[in-house]
Amino acid sequence: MSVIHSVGLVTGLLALIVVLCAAVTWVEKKVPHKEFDERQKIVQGKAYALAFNVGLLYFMVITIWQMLQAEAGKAFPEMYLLLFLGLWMQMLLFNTYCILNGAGLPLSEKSSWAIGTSLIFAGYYFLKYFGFRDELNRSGFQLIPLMMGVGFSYLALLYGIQMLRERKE
Amino acid sequence: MGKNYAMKQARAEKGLSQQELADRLGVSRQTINAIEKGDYNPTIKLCIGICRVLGLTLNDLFWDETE
Repeated sequence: MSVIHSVGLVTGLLALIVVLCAAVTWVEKKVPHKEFDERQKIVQGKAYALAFNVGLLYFMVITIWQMLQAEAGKAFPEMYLLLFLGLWMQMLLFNTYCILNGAGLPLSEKSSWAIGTSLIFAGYYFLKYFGFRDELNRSGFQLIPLMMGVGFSYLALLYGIQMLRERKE
Repeated sequence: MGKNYAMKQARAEKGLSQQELADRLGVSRQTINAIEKGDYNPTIKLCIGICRVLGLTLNDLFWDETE
């Protein structure tokens, strides 16, 4: 790619980001402000700490494991896939903790919206994964849509279970 | 921290559900439930808000008899 093309690409991306930020700001001003209450913010803080600490431990483990595998001359999965797996695990851990402690949504949201949204995303990623199935060439990258679909299905199920638990209270 | 029976009773006497009380205070229903179960210690600001809605004092609702 030539320098001019690169500059054009970067400029275009920056312009897109600016437009998106302006649009989000405009929408937020029109839509009633939704916030988490004091207890929910405390729960989220604990969830962030849990996800961060577990993620840190995971990254240390896979780094050491890869070093040992490399010294032994053995093959190991691509680092980008392992890193994505770690981020995915952190996302699920954070959301699990928040949902189970009643901090999964801001005040004016309903759990049913979260379930519907999670299922839509799950459906999209499952279709994307199976749509590419014929073109799979054992690339770990193709597993990412499947992992995202599984993750969103899990979150939808968790929201549903939490809704049933709260109805009994 | 024990259960807050005083708050639960006061809320029931006012005929408010946990959701209705939460809406008046601008917090989630889960937070009201956590306060009544003794799982969460609210800030003084929220305590005062609860007292105002239920028409009682801080001592009536949040005094810990075990101390």
